Amino acid sequence: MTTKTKRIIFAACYLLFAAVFVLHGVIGFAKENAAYKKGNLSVQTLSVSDFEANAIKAPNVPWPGYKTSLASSDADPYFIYDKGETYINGLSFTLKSHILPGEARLYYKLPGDADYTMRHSVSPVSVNAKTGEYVFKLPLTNAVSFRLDMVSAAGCVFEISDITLNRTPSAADYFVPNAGEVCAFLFMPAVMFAVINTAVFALDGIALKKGDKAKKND
Amino acid sequence: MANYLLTLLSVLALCAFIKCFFDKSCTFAPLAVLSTLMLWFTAFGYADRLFFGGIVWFCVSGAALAAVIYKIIKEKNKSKETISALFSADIVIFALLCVAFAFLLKSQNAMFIRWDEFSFWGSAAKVTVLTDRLYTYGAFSLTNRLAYPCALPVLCYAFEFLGAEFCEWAAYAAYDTLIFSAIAAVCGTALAKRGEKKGFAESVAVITAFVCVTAVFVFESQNSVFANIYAFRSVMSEMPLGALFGGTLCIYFSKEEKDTKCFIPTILALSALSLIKDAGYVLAFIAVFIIAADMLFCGAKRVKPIKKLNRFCGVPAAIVVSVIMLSAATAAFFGWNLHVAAVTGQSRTDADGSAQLSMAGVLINGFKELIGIGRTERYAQTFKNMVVAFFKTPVSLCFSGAAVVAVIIVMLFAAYLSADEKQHKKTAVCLWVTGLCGLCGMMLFQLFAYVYVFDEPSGVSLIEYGRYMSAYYLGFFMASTGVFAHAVSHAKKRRCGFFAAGLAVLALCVLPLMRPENTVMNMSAAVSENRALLNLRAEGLKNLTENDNVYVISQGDSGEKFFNYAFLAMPARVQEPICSLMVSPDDEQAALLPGASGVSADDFGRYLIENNCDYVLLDDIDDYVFTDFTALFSDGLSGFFNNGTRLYRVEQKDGTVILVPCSGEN
Repeated sequence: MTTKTKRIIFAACYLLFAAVFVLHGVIGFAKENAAYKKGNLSVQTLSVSDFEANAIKAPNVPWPGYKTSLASSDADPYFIYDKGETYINGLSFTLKSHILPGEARLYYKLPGDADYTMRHSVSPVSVNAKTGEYVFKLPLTNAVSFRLDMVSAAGCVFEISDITLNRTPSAADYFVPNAGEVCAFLFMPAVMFAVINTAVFALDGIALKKGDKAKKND
Repeated sequence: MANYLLTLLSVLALCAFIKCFFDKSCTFAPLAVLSTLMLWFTAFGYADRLFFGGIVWFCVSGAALAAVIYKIIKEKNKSKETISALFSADIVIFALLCVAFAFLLKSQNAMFIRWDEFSFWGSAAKVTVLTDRLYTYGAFSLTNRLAYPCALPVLCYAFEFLGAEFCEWAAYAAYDTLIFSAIAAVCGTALAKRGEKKGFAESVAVITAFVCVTAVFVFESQNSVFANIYAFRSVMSEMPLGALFGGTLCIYFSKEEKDTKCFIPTILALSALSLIKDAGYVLAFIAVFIIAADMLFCGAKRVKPIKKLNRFCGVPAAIVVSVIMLSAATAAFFGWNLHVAAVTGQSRTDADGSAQLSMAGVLINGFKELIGIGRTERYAQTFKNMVVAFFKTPVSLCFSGAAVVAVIIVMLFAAYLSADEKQHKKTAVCLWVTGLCGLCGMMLFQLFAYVYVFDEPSGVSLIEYGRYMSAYYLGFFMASTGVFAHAVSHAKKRRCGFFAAGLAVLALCVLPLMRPENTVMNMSAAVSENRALLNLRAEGLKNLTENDNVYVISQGDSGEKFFNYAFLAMPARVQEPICSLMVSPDDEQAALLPGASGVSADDFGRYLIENNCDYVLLDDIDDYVFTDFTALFSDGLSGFFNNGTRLYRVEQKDGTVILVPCSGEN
């Protein structure tokens, strides 16, 4: 292979990688938009009463500054939303509490799932430490039900409000690369090229060998 | 970012200096320089002159840079050749990986989150950076602060030398730099000889780097597939240990001619390895064993420095070299003991652990029981569990030790097949045998630790087995990758390109097992949001000094937040809590924690006075604290609820304790 062909392959690796990224974004964004326009994906405001609560009740003494406070009564408190199959792509709410935000996790059950699993769960993409605004984003799925875990300790007092199910599709989710994707873009095509290059060397070698044999036969 | 990049630049400058003036074909310069850096700062730390050591380091590297530039300008005709040697594939891979991962960590504002990072590794680094002294010089809230040598904390110190504050992401980046330097040494084995096949060696080097980076991700995680993987976002010691072990072996393997240019960097790296942790000393022993065996059976005739040593099948050469290497590692290891004894007056080798045995006692008893003399029930049970664990317990992502060994065997077999020269074939076989022997040695070390050092329940259940063993497996894997890459890139047979491509495809297949949002590539912000909140709560602690003692009320905490605050309060101390949790008597957890329930406000006040606590920090209160303890607070907790006051000063009035809110300014 000439140096020029190699350079073309090298550039092609990068172009291919970029093309896959864009194509993936276009398909995902189109799908989500279609569901949104059809009305399958609707942005709804929920209240605490829409959920089934486990191990969550009113605290012994009302805390100053908390209007409708709740407290966890054992180490595994959670909310379950179970209103039949529905498309979801996100959840956000405001939580007033001293709970550490990092423990929050959203589990979702797909049709056919026996139970909630780590595999089908997400951490919040952002939590505002000052305002207590939690945002979960997940790939568009048709979940049967979902479960919200906020903490794994008893005696935690909190007040949950502004619960919003789903969010309007945003192009930024699909087309603005994050730092990890930028790094992957930097390295992965180079690795692809290295793989192709070594394979081509091996193929050349086999071709050469056959050529040698052919010569000998002559 | 600037402080990290400047130190990285100093490392690269010294690499260039090595290549210009000592060894143009050197393929492990970054690892040699970083090993030297760790030893350098450790030595200055022992002398309590860390800051001076840093100044000299940067002066030396500045001078080295100037010398390199001068040389390039001077030799007008040959400069092109020199420059291409400076920008060899291993250096480029090293520099790009370092910058890219530093950028990742910085953009995520990565913060410490794991228990051990607070209890020792991160906290030790922070103390060293903030006080410009080793952590042996003061009484800080560190667990076992004398047990761990200081190579990794001073590595962080070097990379944060030029900044005023302690940056947590830069500490992560410092560890990554060490790991990448080892990976560059592994890639270097492919580059050692420039063949006529242009670009082939470089391609193999890129593949090797990719496989090794993937390996670090895989070996860091011993959890379920969808849990977080903290590879490259960790200040724990296992991955640096493993990488340095593998990298050291690759320094040796990369040279065809075993001469001083190969032995001196190996010795430096081995010394640095022994200064990381006790397990590092064991790994250094195993590395010397592997090198000695390789010299004896595969390449003894090539030992250069003293030709006479090569007589008698190279036995004298192997003995002399391994004795020198072992003494260097031993000197580094016992140097730390001497330092601890000199500073604190305590001996490190004395009785330790549950069996109350000295280090020598552990070894003697361990081997005795291994043969069967006086074998205890506990020993037998732990031994049995270790054997089962080899086949069942994952040491990486979801692969057990046996699976990893199988992969390594296949890889070394591929190396054997592709090698042309007898020496390379022998090296592959020899590493296979000695690596497995080393694995047995490592397992014995771990077995003795479980029997004599850990308490019985955690010992018998092989607590954290995957994490402790992962270092050796990673090192063994990396060394095998190095031998493989060396054999493939030196072979005349072109079909071996398929092996390299196959290895890369294998690594590509592992990637989908990890989700980007669970790794450093795109870790969920929620992971650090905990810390962001705790940082906010700990604002008031910033103004405290070394003499202050703080009590943290943190209801619902498992002990993790205690270490978080101990880290954040540094250099002030955090008082050990009255009991792990203060639990309401009617909570069901009260039964699980005897003595914890029913702490009254009076008990609490007395405890604060007895332990000279100056401040109380409210992290998290629950129903119980709010009902029973509010009377202690002079403002009835109104400051806490209304103004977000969290820091209260301990005062006494008429014999009773009251807690007075500190205003925002403290």
